[in-house]
Amino acid sequence: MVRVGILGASGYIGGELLRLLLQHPDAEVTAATSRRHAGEYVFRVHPNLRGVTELKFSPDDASKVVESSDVVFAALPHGESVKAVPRIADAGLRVVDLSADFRLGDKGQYPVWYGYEHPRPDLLEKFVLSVPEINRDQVRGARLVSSPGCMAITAILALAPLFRERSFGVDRDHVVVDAKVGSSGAGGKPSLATHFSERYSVVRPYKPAGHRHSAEVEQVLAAMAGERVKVSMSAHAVNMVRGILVTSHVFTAGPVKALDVWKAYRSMYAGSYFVRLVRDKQGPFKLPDPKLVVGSNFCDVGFEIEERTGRLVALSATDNLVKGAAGNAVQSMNLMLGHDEKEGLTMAPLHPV
Amino acid sequence: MNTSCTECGAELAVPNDAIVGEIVSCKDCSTEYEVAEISNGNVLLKPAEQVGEDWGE
Repeated sequence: MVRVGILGASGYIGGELLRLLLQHPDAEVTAATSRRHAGEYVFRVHPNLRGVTELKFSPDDASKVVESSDVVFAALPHGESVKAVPRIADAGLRVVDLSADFRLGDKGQYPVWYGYEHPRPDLLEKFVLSVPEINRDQVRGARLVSSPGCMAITAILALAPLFRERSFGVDRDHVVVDAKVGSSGAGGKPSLATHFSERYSVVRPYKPAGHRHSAEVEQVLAAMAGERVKVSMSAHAVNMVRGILVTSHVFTAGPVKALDVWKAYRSMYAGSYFVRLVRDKQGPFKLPDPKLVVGSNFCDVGFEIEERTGRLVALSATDNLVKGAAGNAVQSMNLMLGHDEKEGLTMAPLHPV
Repeated sequence: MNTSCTECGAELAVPNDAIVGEIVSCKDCSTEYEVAEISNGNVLLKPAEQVGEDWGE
């Protein structure tokens, strides 16, 4: 049984890590920290966990977490994780970080996207940005792993096969990623923007240009393409609590056949349980829809071709808190420990929601 | 009897006791085919008729 500590366990991602890890057959949650809620029962903040655990939040004391854990999940805000994680990493524990603080391999990108100089660039070289469906072998051997942003991983899983298949000749300078995300993507801290009267029914373009997740998507796609890739991302808040739909647009050098695109996706994701190819001729759900992945670690991926313009539209849907965060993190832990990556994650999505 | 889906390339399993006129559907993309002919263990499929949806275009 692996002993697991969670830093920042009172947020939505922390709650989702608890939900998954408390039911994981090989994990024991030994610490769940929260500055604000230390001493309180976990289920007071995450009421879905009433009857599931008697665990209480512990204070934000990294040394105690180090003593009681083999693996530490850091679900802290960007800028906070970089303060807490180095101590844990230096102590030799396995770390899965869910913030952006260790996602980018190039320290020069931190001032550009996050406005700070990275204090521990030596650690950036050691962290593996984990998309198991793409770099499973790297994650297997890693002690330090970062999990991509929810929109980033959803976009990456749809786009990576298109860059891997060189015969498509995808234009690396014009990649448009359009994301629609539910309210839980904004975290659990309330604001006027998340107030029910202001948030309900919106289709709010909250970051039409320059989204930070572009950097992670570019990093992974460049590795796939073997050359620099430029990603233009737009993000919208829509009327869901959970879920992301990403519609990505790329342009190919010449005509591309649907059969070849199917082949590219199948060849990349053969053996990847959590990626489902959805391009159905029948029923109301012909292409990925976040409604059908809620509560699960699945990423549904599909595509459509517009021959007239040479556009290939790749669609992908995830539950932003599961495959977009906690689920991918647990999947990564499973690999780091040499376990089956599906362990504790095979729950089917809810339907209807 | 196995063949492949012309839409998505997935393997398409046609039951051994299939009869002409029977509809078979691809597991991956749900494209439907009608069994047009069976001879010497080989099966010939043709696209089944579909009713299109009107999304108000």
